[in-house]
Amino acid sequence: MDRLMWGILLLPLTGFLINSLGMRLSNRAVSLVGPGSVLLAFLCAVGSFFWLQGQHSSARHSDLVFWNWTLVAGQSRFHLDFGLLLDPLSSTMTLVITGVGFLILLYSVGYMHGESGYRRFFAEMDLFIFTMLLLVLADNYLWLLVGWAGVGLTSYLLIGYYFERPSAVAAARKAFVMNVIGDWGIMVALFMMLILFGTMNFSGVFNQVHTVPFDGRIITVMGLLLLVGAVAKSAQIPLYTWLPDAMEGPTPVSALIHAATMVTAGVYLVARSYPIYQHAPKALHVVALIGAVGTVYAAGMGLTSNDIKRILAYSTMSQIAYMFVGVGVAVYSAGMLHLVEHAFFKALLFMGAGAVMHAMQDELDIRRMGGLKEKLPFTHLAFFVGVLSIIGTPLFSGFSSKEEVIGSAFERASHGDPILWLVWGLAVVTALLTAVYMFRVFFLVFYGAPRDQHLFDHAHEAGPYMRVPMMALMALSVLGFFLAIPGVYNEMEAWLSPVFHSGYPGMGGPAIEPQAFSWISLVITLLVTAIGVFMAWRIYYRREPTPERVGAAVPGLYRLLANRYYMDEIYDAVIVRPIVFTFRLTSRYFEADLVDAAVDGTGALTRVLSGRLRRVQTGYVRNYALSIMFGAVLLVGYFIVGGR
Amino acid sequence: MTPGSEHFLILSAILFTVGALGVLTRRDPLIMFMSIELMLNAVNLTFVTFSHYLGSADGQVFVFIIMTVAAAEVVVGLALIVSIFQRTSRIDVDELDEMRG
Repeated sequence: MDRLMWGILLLPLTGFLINSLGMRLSNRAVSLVGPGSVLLAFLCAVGSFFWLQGQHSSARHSDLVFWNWTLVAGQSRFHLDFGLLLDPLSSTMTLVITGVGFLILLYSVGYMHGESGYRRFFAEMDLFIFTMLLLVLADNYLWLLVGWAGVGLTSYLLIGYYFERPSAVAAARKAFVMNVIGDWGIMVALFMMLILFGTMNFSGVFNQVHTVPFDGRIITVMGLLLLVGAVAKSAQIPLYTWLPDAMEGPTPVSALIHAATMVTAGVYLVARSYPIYQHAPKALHVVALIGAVGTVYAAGMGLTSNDIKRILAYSTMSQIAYMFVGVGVAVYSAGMLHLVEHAFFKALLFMGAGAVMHAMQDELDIRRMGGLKEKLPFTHLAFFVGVLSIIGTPLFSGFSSKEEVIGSAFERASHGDPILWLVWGLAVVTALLTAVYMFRVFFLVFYGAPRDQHLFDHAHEAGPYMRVPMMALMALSVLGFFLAIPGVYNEMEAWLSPVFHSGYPGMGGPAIEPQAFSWISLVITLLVTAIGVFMAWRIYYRREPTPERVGAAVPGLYRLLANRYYMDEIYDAVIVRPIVFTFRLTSRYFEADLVDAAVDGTGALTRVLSGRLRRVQTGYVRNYALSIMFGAVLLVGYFIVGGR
Repeated sequence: MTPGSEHFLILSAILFTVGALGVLTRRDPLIMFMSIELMLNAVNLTFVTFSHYLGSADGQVFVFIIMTVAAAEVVVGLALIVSIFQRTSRIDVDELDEMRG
């Protein structure tokens, strides 16, 4: 058992070390080590999953402590255990990370074929998987933060994979800076834990949460600070602008890091820290509201964007916002269920987008595509499955999880939490928008007349390395439906319930409800989704009314959405420019006039003062000898005359 | 007349003065070295004289040490002179004033 857990963590690290140090590895060896190490880690994850299932549900918890750190400084005492934590929550995450990760790495073997820096790509992907696993297997917040920062770093490296493109470098830097804002939030929360509890271990913190005075205000602050980290990592309002730009990275990177795994770390953090949020109902409300507003907000940008990868990025943001709604209404297992199923269908959609780009010579603009169904029948099918999943069609994976999330919000709202009506309403509106913008992409890319004949003529289907993972994810996107059928059963809920009902002392706040189910919510959601599909079909397939006329009907709104709410410009004007301006000023006046003047002045002063003294150094030996002589005579004279 | 201690001390003072003047006035490093040796040996003579006068062996121990150091100093000094000579082909210490301030 211990070996399995170490295997999960260390195998991808080994893959990274081999790939990064093996200067002479052939591409074939690299593509064996890269995905291979992750496949082995996946087998270890499966093994530990079955081990956990073999345990009694109350004993599904294994903390493999390998190092204790104790500090005693005067009165205060600080204790920290470093270990690997395996429970249903972290087991689920390891399965997603290694499973989907392996499929995407396999896809990369085909997609990245012939790229320069092939070995670097696989080394960095392995490193990413290692740090992500560290994040979910850590049993204390400090170690979690190490993995958290590690995924930020590898995300930076992989966004900037094409480092000869200035736009990629700028995007990488933007992502890194925004993630560091989140790291700051978590760090401050950690300092609070240190002062309040003297530990950062999950169990130590959660057992003491109820002892904090000031009727939960401090815990609310702590929850909000953790949320800052979650929001930055998961690209939610207001720290989301890095995610669309992050699409500068290779498509498999977007699939793995910026869709399936890393960006969902924020949801994991909130779910993992649920005892803190149970004591901070206000912080939990903020989580739900950020999620709800984020769903609509991101979907709006998805409606007008013309870049296939950016549309998927906005849909990722929107779907993660759904997960935030799930955990924000204290139905943590609904959020986690959506996390898992989203990993399946979003990775599939990105792979489909990658296959389209591959066929269209890296063209991203959906206005230049069209009619690709006959050229790319397989990709068309895969994309169709992904679209059906993301909009929540019954019998596809997104259906169960999305209905659970929206239904939970509905139930919580109708049981005396009126602010959640707003959350529910926004989530339902997003269901409509999701159907519109996903089918918009689908129709524009695969149907209608080809809008760029040259690109169309050269389009060709992707190779087997890319098709096999897509098939696997298509199967998962369908099978994901059976993880939970609303109103019938919920495997995920049952599996995760030991984690979320472990009963830490003094658990306050809103009750952790089992995933609720409501026919009303289900029917309404399905209805608006159908309306959305119909609208997309009319506008983008039949073209009556044409998209241009629809856009012209609401020119102000269209411009707002097409310019992404001007948020990049606002950040630029409010934050970036003042900072650059201030630093220009300081470099002009403080640096040049003050610091440089002081440094140069010291040198000039020394030169002036020593101008006379340097004459003493004549360079003639006999002058030195004479002065030695003179000194000796003085000394001797001193001792003879009066020194005795 | 047997020479007494004072004679030896006077001789030593004369030798030392000659050596010092040589170092200060001559520009040929070889001569300067010889002058330095003269000064050292003048001091040695003083040591021996006082050692004899006081009936103690301490002064003579110093003499041995000074001779050893002087030998080492000559080795280093001659090596310097040779390498300077190779570089300039003339030997005049007044021309070696690169370190002038």
